[in-house]
Amino acid sequence: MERHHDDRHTPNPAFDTMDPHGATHADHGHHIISARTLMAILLALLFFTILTVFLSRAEVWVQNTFSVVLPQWVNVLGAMSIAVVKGTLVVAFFMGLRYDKPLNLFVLLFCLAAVAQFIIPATLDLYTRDWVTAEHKGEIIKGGTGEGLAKTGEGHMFVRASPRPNTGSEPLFEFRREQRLEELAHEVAAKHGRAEANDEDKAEAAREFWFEHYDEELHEKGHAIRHLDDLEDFYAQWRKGHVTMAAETTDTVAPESLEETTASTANHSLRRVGRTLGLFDAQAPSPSAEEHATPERAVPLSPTEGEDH
Amino acid sequence: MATIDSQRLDMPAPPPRGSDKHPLFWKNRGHAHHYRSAAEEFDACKLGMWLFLATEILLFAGIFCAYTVFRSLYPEAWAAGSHHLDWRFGAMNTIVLLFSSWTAASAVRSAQLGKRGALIGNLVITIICAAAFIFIKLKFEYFVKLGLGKAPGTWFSYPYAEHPQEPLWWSIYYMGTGLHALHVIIGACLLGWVLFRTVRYNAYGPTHYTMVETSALYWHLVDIIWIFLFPLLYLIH
Repeated sequence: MERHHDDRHTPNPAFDTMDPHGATHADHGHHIISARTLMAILLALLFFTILTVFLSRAEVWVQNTFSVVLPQWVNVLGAMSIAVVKGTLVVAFFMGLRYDKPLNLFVLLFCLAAVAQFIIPATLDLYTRDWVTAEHKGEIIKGGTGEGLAKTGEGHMFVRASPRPNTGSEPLFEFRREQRLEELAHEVAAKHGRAEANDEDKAEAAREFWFEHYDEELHEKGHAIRHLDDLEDFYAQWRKGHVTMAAETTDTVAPESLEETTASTANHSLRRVGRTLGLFDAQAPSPSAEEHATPERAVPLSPTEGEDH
Repeated sequence: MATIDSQRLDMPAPPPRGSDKHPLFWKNRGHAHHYRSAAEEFDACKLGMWLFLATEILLFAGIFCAYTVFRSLYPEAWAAGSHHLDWRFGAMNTIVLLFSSWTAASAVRSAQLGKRGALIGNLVITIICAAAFIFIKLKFEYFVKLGLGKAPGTWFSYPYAEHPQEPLWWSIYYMGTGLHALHVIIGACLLGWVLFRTVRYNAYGPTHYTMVETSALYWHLVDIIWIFLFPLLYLIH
């Protein structure tokens, strides 16, 4: 039995009353994008990929060759604007939005507006918090700060999938380094036929530790380390850097307050690009570094104070 | 009492798969009864796919937002983290995905023109690219990094870290690329299903190619996500 729609009252150009099932509509009236266009878009996308990689490498080269630090926005703006161009090309041609119904484009734009709602207010808050109350600059509620994991998984309702070592008041990355150093010291002691590692073994282990790292990581990255003195010098400086950083991290955080809200000092430290900047230079602390290295507030925030923002 | 179809002995034998009598053959496909035409059904399916893609974009937007926030909090850890990644693998994977996006778009074009051989070829190349992407990701990136202890969160055991927040960087890295890799696998499965139906039933042609179109849309979304992940993780330092 034929059902009667009210098509007669609302004529629709997409509905052909002589051919209600669209059997004779060869292509639904949809645009078929030409092969030439598709190929041109692919070539454009590859070109922009090469361009963005080239820009990024050029920035690294400029920074290393002329010993300058380019501002962050150069890097970010260059890479992200090229990504937006590439994304637009894919959406417009490969996904066919250029030839499609406007409703689909509307769905996409509405979604992108929602994405902007995520990202823009979050960024505004982080960068302009001090405009409202100057003393709140850089104070971030604890979360992902890499502080110590004082609590193990015991007593939890569910079994924890992740290993959760008790690092005491140490940050996780320090804890892992010391773990490895102890392991190496143990190996060295065993090599010398000792049950316990003495100071000599520990010193040898520490040396091995940095050389091991050089072999595994830095060598592959093509760092120009000319001879062993340079290497020793590099690691001496690097370790010094670590000690200062550890002091910065732990100074403001009393061990007993780890469970509570603490002020992160991450924003106070000197911004640095890469890991090898000033590799062979005698590093005199710049005045600005000193300024930044000293936290504005020596006493950590009390938990109640920190929860408000 | 009325008999049901399966009890009727005089029913003709079903048409063989892949023949032009089979109901899944593209020329035999009509449209669901609640649509007025096949064109309307196609447009509704496509709108539905775009709505789904919008939710996918919002899913990844959560990760991009976390990236933005943590990056502005801990720029040094992010710089150190991105130095652990080799841009060459990222660029290689970008090229693989862009190329596969082109073959996916060409697959839709082949279906629209009724070129079955080209459709199959394009789908096969796209799926091979998906496999290549996952291979590069696992073999040269994930396995190597996890072997060195560059793992997310409390799994982190890399002893040469420079910044307290490096475990956080790896969490964002694995969450972003891992979720993306999952989408690559799902997209390859969808395209594989399209390929299966093309080979076995000759199911897609000029008047019926809805699933080719929607699967390709999904694949292009995977491509777009990577277009943004690549510079954020590998190039910005």
